[in-house]
Formats: sequence, C-alpha cells, structure tokens
Amino acid sequence: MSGERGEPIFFDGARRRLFGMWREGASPVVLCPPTGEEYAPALRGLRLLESRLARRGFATLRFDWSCAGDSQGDGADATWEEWVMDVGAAIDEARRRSGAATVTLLGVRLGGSAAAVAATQRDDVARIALWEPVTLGRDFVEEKRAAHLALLEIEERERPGARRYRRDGECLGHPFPAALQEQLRRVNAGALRKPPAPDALLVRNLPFPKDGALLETLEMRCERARREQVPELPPWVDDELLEAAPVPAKSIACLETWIAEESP
Amino acid sequence: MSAVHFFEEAVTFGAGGHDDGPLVGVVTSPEVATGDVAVLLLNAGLLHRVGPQRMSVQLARMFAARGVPSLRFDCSGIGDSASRSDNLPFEESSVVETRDAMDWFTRRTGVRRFVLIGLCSGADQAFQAALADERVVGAVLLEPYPYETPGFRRERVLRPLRRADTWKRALTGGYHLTYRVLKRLAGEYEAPVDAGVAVRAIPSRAVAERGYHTLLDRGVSLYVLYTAGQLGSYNYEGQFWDMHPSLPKEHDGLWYDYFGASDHTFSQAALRELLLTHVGRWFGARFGA
Repeated sequence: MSGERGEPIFFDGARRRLFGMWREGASPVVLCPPTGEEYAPALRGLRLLESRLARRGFATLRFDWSCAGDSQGDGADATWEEWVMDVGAAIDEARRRSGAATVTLLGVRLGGSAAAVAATQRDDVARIALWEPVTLGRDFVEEKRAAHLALLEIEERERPGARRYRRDGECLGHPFPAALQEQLRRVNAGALRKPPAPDALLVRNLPFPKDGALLETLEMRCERARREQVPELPPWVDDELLEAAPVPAKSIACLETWIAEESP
Repeated sequence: MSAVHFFEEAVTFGAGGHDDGPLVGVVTSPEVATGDVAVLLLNAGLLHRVGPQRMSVQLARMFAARGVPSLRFDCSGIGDSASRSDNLPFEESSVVETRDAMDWFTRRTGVRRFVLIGLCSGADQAFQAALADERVVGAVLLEPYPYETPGFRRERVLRPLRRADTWKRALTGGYHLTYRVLKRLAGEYEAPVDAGVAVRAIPSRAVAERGYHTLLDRGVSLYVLYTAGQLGSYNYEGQFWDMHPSLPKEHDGLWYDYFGASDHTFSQAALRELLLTHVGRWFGARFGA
C-alpha cells in the first residue's frame, strides 16, 4: 500500500493487541499520541504530519495506547507501565516492517512522557521529538482533576440530574482509574537518568514555567538538544470536538522540518 | 485482564474514485455469531471511528458479546480515511460510503441486513442511508434532526430562570474551564489554520417526518434518542413527539428515549453504560440477539 495512504493494522503489544496506522517508507517515525480527551483533537494534525513525512519517504507508525482507541483492553485497566511498554512494542513493529535499525520517536503530551521513558530503556531510538510533553505527572493529574470538576459543575448546573451519575475514576469523559493516577503522580520526565536519544527536540506552544528540569535533562543527557517555542494554540486546548478539527500548522511544520532535515 | 470474546480486524474498503484512498475501519467479530444482522457504527461529527469517549468501540464489543458483528469506519476526510477527490457534499458522500460499507460487508460475510448507529451528523447519515437502501432494517438515531416547537421556545425562557446562578454561568460559559483560562492567556496566538468544520444539512421538519413514515412503513426498526446536551435546539422530553405529531407513539417499530441528564456525547461513563444497556435491550427486542 502506498505510504501516502496508510494501512490500518493490529500488532502485538506487550500484553494486548494494539491498533496502528502504518505508512511504508524508510527511516521509521513512531508517533506516540496524546491520551484521553486530548487525542481526538490532535488526530487531524498528526495525520497531516504523517502524510508530509510519507511524501518525503519516511515510514510512520501511529498507534493507539492499550486500553484506549481501537486497541484491546478497557480503559479502567490502563496502566502507565503498560503504556511505556506500548512504545517499545511500536518501535519493534516499526523496525520489523521497515527493516530499519533505529527509529525516530515523536511523543505528544503524555505520549511524549511515555516515549521519553521508554527510549531511555533502549538503544535503537536515534532521535526523539517531544511536543508539549508532560514533565511532572502530578501536575498533569491535578490539572485533569480540576478540569473534570469544573466540567461537572457546569454539567450539573445545566442538567441537575447528572449529579447522580458522578463516578470516581473518570476524567473529561475518559477512564482515569485511581491506580493510573497514582502511577502518573510519580512520573517526572525531567529526571531521566539516561538520554532518551542522542538527538532531541522539545516543542512548546504555551508558556510553561516548569520546563527547566526537562530541558536541562535533555541538554545534559543528549548529544544535541533543542527547544522550539511555537506560538500557536495546540489543538487539544479546544472543546469543540464534533464541529471543528483545527490543525496546528506551525507546530506540524516545525516537527516536519526537524525530522526531515536532521534524519540520519 | 478480562477474557476477550471477540476478534477485531483492521480493514480498508471502498474508494471515492480512481485516485482516492480507501476508507479505514475496524471489524469486530463475535466468537459465535447469532442472527443475520450486522451493525455499522458511523462517525459522530468529525470524530473518528472510535467515537466520542470510545463509545463506538464499546458498542461494537457489546454487540460482539451478543453474537452480532459490526464495522466502525471513517467516512472520507474523517479520522484515518482519505478525502474524496470529487466534490460530493458530505450529506451525499456519507450515504454513498455507508452503502459501500454494506456492499463490502456483504461480500465478505454474506450478511445482507444492517442496523446503523449514529450520533448527531452520524444520525443524519443513518437516517438518509436507511431511506436510500432497503438493506437497512434498523437504525439507532442519537440526537437526530432537531426542530423548534412552541414547547421548546417556552422552555428556552423558563429553564434559565429556574437556576439562581444564571449570571455566573453567563460569565464562565462552556466546558473545560481550565482550558478556557488557558485560551485567554494564549489570546495573542493566531487561530489554527485549515480547520475542518462539520455543518449539518437539516431538511425541513415535514420532509424529516415523511422520512420517518417511509421507514416505519417499510418495517425499519427505529430507536430515537435525544439528550439535554443541545439545549439550543432540543430542551424537553416531549419535543420529539411535538416536532412530529403524526408519528405513532405506540408503535413497536419506533422507540424513543430522552436522556435528560446527559450531555451531547454521553461524557459520563455511567450514562454511556446506560445508553449501551438501552441500545442492547432495543436490539434484543427487535432482532432477537
């Protein structure tokens, strides 16, 4: 199948079957998407990036996390450990299909955090791009919990009957089990003890004052590390999912340029 | 990990034209099939085949547990499916592609009877595809075409007056309060480019009502469900019957429910589970699975 069109596949994760979109080519790029409610609004931009990379001859593999999307498993069973293993499984699949010895990882939001952690456990990640990664898991958990409570407040004001359907372990419409929250609270992408890859790119859209530790870690651990501030609203900061599909053109262009110009 | 009682396969099928890419979908097959009906799960707005809050995946696996196969797929230009190269408007291309999906599924499995499930524009697609193709024997229409009624206009005035904090809602508005704060902070940023926008093509109330009669006369089983999630167009339980006064309230082939506690996309898990229970009950009653 043409690399520009993409082929839907299922492949073996560490514990479950994972869904993926594969595009043929050389120098595979593995895309680790955002999680939960952040994924759907990001999809159109990620597809655009895949298409542009495919035109440049790159192979790409974007996958759904275990217990999410089209992958096997229920959301209530999602764990951080398995998500990190999913990255490894996707790297293995991309290498198997392409025959390449190394891959480029692109991780978005919590997908970036999982990608960075997974990459430190391997020696076949040549380059890693992190787009608005989550640096401190505890901040992510608290932000999500606060957003969820704010949403519930608005929901229950509009529809008072909704209060009786409140349930723990969910966030903004997606499962967010307590065990996963506890695991995420211990995530600190700024405390990587090994380089995720020799070459790293950190892309930020919003001002993020706590980035220091992550950037320092990348600069300290990687042979080459770069940070790009792209002044653009990321697509997951939008609640109009059904009616609009924004594309963060500047961020996509930045990522495409970095991946294409500096590929080994 | 719970036992898996279904098999899922990623598939491609159809194409808008010679140079167009295929459509992408996932078939969920039960371990043991019962009956002779398959379910097609349609896109909700611009969301991909997984559905809002993974609803289509949950529906597919629920049906598989009942022995019913399903296909969830992306229409052209949505999710992972390529765009069409012709200029067919979505309200037409979505029906063409639904029929393509049925053709493909029949060639593959021999199943010739289909139940369509769609939310919002997906409900529109299901309604129009059912009218166009007699292979459709049932449809679950989640938030189909809304029309104003005198009761709607009355409720629109009265509803906010029942809340003491109407003024506070006017200030905070919408969902995702934290994200709205972030958006204000990022106010100097340029708007996203190339934004796809979904616009529903809603026929006149009379045309829609005739459509319901056509389907019922043909023996198509319909399950119509509205929520309190689009208060700008639908805001009370009896609105469906007031919109379409000639439709029979006591008809085995026409079920209706109102989820007054739910938003437009059944965001809360408990409400989504209730929806699945209701859809399962309807399907069991109408198709014996």
